[in-house]
Amino acid sequence: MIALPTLLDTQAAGPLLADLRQSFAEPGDVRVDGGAVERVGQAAVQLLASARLSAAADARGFVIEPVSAPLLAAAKLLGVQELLWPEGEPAVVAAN
Amino acid sequence: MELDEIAAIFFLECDEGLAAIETHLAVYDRDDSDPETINTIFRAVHSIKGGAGAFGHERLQHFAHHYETVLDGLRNNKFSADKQVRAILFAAFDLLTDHVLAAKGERDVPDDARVLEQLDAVAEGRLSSADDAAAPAPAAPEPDENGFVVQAVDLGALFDEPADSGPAPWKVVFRPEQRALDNGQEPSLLVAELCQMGGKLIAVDHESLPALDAIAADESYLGWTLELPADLDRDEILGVFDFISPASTVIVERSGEPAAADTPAEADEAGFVVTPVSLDDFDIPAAAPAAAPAPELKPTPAAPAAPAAKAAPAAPAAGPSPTIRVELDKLDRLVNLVGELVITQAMLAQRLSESGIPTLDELSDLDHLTRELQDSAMSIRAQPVKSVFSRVPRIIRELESETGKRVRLEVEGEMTEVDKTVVERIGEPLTHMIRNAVDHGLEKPEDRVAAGKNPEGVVRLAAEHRSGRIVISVTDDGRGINTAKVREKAIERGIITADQQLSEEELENLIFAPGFSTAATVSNISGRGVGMDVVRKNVQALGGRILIANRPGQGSTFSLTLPLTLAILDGMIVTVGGQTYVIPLTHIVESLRPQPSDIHHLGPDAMVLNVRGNYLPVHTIGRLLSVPGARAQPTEAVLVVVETDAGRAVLMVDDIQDQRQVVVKSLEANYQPVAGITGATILGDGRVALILDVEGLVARHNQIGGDFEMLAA
Repeated sequence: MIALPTLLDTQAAGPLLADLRQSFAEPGDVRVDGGAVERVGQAAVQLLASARLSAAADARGFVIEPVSAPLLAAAKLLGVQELLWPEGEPAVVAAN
Repeated sequence: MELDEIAAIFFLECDEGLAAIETHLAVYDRDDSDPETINTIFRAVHSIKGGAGAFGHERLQHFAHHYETVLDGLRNNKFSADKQVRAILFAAFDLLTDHVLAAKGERDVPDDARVLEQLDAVAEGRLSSADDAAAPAPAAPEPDENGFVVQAVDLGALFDEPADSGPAPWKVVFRPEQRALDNGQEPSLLVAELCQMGGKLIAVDHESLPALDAIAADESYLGWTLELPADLDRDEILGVFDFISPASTVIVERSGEPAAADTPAEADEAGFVVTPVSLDDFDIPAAAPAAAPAPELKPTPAAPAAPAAKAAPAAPAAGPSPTIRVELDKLDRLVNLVGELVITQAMLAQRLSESGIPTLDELSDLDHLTRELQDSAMSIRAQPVKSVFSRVPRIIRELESETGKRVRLEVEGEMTEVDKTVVERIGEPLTHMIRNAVDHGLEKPEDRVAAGKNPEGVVRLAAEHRSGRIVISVTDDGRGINTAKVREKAIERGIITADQQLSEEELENLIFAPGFSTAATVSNISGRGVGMDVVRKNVQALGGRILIANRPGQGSTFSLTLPLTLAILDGMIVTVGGQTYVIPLTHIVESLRPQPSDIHHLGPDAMVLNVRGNYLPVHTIGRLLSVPGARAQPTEAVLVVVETDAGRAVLMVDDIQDQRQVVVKSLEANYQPVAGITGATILGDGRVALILDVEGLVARHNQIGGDFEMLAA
């Protein structure tokens, strides 16, 4: 499980990429906890989208849950909401 | 260029933008007939919004957006600007200024809820007497509670409307370059801004998004296509991209009927674009980089007029003469070097003269050129006082609302130039003077009416050059200074004794005494009894003077007289016991060699000089500064009558040598502060001469030697 930080800007994208690659190196579904995210930038949204596409190519599960409202809003703004949650808009949790 | 430098430029441009808004708001308030006035205000706010978006100052961006919405409505005549709307425009300007300061980190983020609500009320036609309430401005987006501004825009009315004759909506393709995330830039904020303008995301291109093993965390891979409302200006949309790298792809074009296209984009006005986006490519989708996405983007079917017209914007707009920004340090170094050159030139001239070499033409040419070079170097540092004057309207507005008085501000001579250091340091004295004029000078509207005056008081702020100095005056048409009341208060405060006889002028000057206040109640505006004292101290520190012209019942004028520069000083070169000193010319009234009958001794050390019936205390420089060998007899010495804030006094020196301009060197910076001395200069013979602090010396002597004026009286 990767827990996304509160502030997920371009600087935080580097560590996130490392975490995602680590998770993908291990077998099984990749799970990301996005419940604490308060601010998120394009860099991190792109990484999540890339991870989603990579998971699909590997035929493995990729789940972002829970999802904070700012994370969902950023995904919508940048037009990758359907890519990240193809099964439909996720329920959001209040960020702490 | 580092991000910090770009951000610094952005803030400089914010300041320029705010100044432009302030100026044009004042014009608009008087006369709103020229559409260019409101357009200029709109563009300035828009540029601030664009920069704020690029640098992630979301609160500033959010506020500017709401402000801009109202300005846009005004320039498109969606509603009219009645008095109430104008007041809101001014209030919004003040808040915009506060938001910029907050973005700079110089203050807390202001509470803008009330003004935002007012702006929205104007924009939605709830406030203004709009002619056409059926055509409301686009609904202002709600701020996201997390600060990441995501649109909550109701576009229904705009898009569902069967627009059978209006222009087609805009299609915007935006694909940031690969390095667009460098230095903390956030292209998604630009997408958010487009959404705020009523944009709707219609496609995202993630074709080039690499798989996880190949992706770089800090590169940009996405691109977007948005649809924006047809009634936006093309320039407005392009303005969003003012601060992005030219390598990014931006295409803005109408997606529908080209015949109804808006007027072609005008050349971008100068000033606010750091990296101008080339407009050339925007209308030619074929010329866009191969990466340009959006298969759904249809080239405009037939737009012969528009692209042809739009090829023109590449030509730069005619504007004011070009300028460059220079670091202040570099300028100071230049000014300092020129100062050294002036000194060296004077030394050379003196050496030649001492060697008996007759006057050379070349030497006088050199002298002439050196002076000219010095003037030019100083003029580079000169700035119009406008930057200080521009704060005043806001202070007046705040005072109006705090005091309930009505004030009309008249400004004159705001382009008068003075050295940057002086400009920077007159802000505080000026603020106090303005507050004093409104709080103490002007009467309440009902009192004015009772006195047969216009209920609206006038405060006139003026600047002019006069005899090589700048004079800044604040005049009010209020009640004037009531000297009887001043006297009463001064006695009550223990500043003067009840039996002390003072002239009208001396009574007026009591308001500069520390701890003096005539306000009936202490308010948060003035009346703390520190304001005018601070004014005088600051003005003195600048080598300036402050004068009062009082017209009881009709108002008063406070005039600040300041040197144009602090680097050069006109001085009288005097000697005391073999030492050379400089007395600043601004203090000198006259100099004389007294007759024995003019001198009256008051004890062993104190004496007064009878100057045409006035007895002035004599301060012996040799004794005050402990200079050995100074002349002790006034009849053998030269007496210099000086004007100070403590009244006139006499300085006794041995001889007068010359009168000339000297280059001031700071003692604080080069040595340490010395009581009685304000600085030093280097004379033609290479010796250092100290510049006398006349105010300090006279004040100090008064304390040591007692009040001569009282004794003389």
